Amino acid sequence: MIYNNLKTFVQHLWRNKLYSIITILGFSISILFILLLSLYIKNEYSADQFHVNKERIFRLTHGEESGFAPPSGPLLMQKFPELEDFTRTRNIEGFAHGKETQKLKNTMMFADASFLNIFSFKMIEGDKKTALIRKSTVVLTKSFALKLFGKLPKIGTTLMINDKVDLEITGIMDDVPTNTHFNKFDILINFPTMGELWDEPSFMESYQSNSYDLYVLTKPNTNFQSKAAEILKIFKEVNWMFKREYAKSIEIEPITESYFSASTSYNVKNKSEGFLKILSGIVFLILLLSIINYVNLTVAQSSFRSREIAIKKLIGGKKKDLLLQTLWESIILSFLSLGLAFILCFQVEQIFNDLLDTKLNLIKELTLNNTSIALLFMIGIGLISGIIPAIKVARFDPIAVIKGKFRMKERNTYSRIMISFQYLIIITLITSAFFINKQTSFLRNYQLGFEQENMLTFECEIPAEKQRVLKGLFEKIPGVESVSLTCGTPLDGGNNNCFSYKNKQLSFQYFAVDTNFFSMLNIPVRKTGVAYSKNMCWLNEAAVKALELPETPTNFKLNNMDNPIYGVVKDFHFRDLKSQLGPAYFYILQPDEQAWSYIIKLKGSNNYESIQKIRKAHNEYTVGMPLELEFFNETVRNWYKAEDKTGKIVMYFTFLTVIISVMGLFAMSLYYVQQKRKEIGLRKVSGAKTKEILRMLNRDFSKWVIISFIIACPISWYAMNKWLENFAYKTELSWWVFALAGFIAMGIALLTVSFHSWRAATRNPVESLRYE
Amino acid sequence: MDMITIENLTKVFRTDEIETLALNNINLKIKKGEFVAIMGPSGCGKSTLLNILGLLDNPSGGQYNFNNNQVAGLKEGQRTDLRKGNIGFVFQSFNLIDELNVFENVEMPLVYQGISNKKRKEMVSKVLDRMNMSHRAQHYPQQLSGGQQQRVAIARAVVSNPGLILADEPTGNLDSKNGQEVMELLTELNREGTTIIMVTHSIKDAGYAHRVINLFDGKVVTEEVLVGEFAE
Repeated sequence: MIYNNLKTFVQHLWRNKLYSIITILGFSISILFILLLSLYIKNEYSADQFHVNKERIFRLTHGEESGFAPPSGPLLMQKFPELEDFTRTRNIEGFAHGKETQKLKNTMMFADASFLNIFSFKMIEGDKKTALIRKSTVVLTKSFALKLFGKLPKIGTTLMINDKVDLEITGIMDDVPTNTHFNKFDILINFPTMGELWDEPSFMESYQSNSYDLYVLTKPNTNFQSKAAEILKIFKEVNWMFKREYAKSIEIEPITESYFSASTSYNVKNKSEGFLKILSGIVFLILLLSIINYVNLTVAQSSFRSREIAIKKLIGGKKKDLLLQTLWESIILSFLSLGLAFILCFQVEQIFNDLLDTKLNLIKELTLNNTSIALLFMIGIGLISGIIPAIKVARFDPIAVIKGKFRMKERNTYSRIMISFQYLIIITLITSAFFINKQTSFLRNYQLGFEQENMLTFECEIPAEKQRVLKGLFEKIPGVESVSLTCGTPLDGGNNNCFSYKNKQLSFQYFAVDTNFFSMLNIPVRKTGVAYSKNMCWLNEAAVKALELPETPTNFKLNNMDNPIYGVVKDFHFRDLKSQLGPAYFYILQPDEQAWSYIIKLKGSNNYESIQKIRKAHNEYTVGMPLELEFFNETVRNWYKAEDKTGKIVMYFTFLTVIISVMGLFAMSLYYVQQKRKEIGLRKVSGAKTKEILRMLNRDFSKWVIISFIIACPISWYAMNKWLENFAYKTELSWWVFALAGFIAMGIALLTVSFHSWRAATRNPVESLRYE
Repeated sequence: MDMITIENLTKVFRTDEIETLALNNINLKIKKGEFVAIMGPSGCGKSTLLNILGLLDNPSGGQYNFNNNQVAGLKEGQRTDLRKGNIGFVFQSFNLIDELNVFENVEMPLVYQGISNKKRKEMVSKVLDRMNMSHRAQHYPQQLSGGQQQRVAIARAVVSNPGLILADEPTGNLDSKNGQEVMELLTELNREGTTIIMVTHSIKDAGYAHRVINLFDGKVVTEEVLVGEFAE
């Protein structure tokens, strides 16, 4: 019997290919999303769970920040016997090289020797207890070591950082995993070495700078978390930041909560638990909708197998046998969907990782545990999805079937509400996807007020006089039109200065520029007539307004000093369009002042060759310092990478919801058409044309899509309005986008429904009326 | 010996608004080995009676004794158990399963009875031989003619040697030649001892029976004995 049941099932699937494809594909795409999102959520929630001492490690924070001064750690150790150990951390970007290697940019993490004992990062070579005990020692991560040296270097090899400090390699560690709150770093350097790098030997005792994260390891069975108030009191006595109440509280955060912490710093990621909760909700919703639609579709389709079921009942099949048969079929379909979902997972793994900024490795996740959970899950889904169809099928009246009087009961209103709900989601998502795309295009095409074409920039930390020499070398390259040295470019926004002016608190961005800057970037400047001097400045139009100066200002006082205004610069954007254009002032870069960056304008012909010559000149002059060129237009495009990703995520979810809803709508239309079979036959006999029948059948579904559209419009409008609040400059919420979304949703619905409507409308009426 | 005894059998179909008395105090006895035809106009209750006789439905009132078992009021599972191996069905529209071949269709009742693979093969082959359908054992219903399909349906009905066959307009979808063949087959089975109850509109087909019962409005109006040995 099992063989026969399997045979009829397989043949039924083969004969009803469209149903089979819609069911299996629909289910597997849902499972694909559920699998990937579940793995992602599981990984995110597992952050920092791998530390052996996780119950005893805490991170100190103060409100929304978490930076402390270096002496804070030793002070706490002295005052609190509950503590076993502590470590401080700080990330810095720099470059490193071995004796005969190229110079490579990297992220350096400075940490105390105890770091490797407190946290459970795996060491491949070297002893974690002693690796960072001595000053000027470094542990490399494996991939950076291989990138720099081509192989794992011997312990004791020298590494130089920023052409300034020699370090001894005392260990190699595994790469920093993604499921930790620490930002990725390439090398781990003994903490006091930072003083040598910055030429600040007394930084370890100073409370001046509070930009170091602080972690403590408590002794077992102690309650350090209750000491927050006491710690605050102690810090208030020694640290200006607490004395002057720039920091007003102390929190002692378990390390397992740091991944989602609201306290930020340079060294740690800032992940939103809210986003994960939304994703979890989405996973649940996808599952629920898929199951509901699968149930509807299977029950609708089961009427085509009613004869088989009826005969089996007549010749001895019990309800229990038929129930089990249907349940097994549901489980088999679930497994087929799971198999297909697995295959699809590997195809979309990279896209998924890019979208969610993660590094899921599906091969690694194929553990016995995960696979067992997935299999059990699918059995559960198979059972849950199959139980309702199984009960319905087992209840088929064999007599009615044999007599040809069998009809599936038309679904009641709740099913139509379900379909409407799904179309509401589809319309909202389509509208959102369009608007996100519209906004991103708007941002990319917005005139920022400065030249982007053939413009590149890079940072260069060589002494000021060498920068001038190098500038000269660049200017000699035939493909280079002009070169500028600056502190601050339109891409990085310059530096910030907050000051009091006429009893108002103002916040300005400031730039140090050379005389080439404005002409190179095609930024119009209106001269004020003030004479050129080395302490002159330019103000942008927004600054003139903020300082309440006349239209042609000549001077303004800042910190009791005169600032002659040489010209008024036409407003240009120096931050992405999420921020309003603000006031800025520009002063002349002094001859002995070290610039942050070069800006080079190329002539436009043979740019590739010119860039190669720039690299060569730089490499030769700086003796191999790493060079990272940025093209203006590429960087501007990348400002909106996050919005691009959001748009893509919305698009993928739209696609998913469409697939799931097609299952449901397919089922609904099948029920509906079966009910109307006799009526259609009679109408045709009475003279109705095919298109009139089609219109009649589709009208009912169209009504529900229109209701969804009406409800979806204000929801989409509100959601998009809220999202656009993140941007100072935004596109319009045009009416035609809503209309287009509604039109597309209606198109999808009609296409789905028309499959059955068309078949019913073109059927020979005699066939419909044969058994009536 | 009476295989079937019905006393004061009634069947009422109820909906929210309407009550229909499909069978009204039917009293009937059918002997073992008898061939009975049930006739009457559409809506007279023939199929309803056949369904109750075949343990597919329960009467609303009265007694039904089948093979010395009181069966009125039995639950569906109990009726299924009683039906298995004891009652075979033949329908107007054949009702074969399209996804299974001839052999598998005929074998199905034996599978539900838990008979072993080897024994099933033997029994199915024997009955297919008898129906002259062995050469089509691997074919599917859609590859057979109407007459051949009905022969397969009869083979399925008799494969487990049931004591009773219920036939609901068995020649309704067949031409006269095939119809005659089917009736001769049923007659042969009856001669071998199988009790047959057949619903028919055809006077010609009714002529094969020992007794013809006429129903009208849910009541037995006449009974006509055609073959004397089964007369009271």
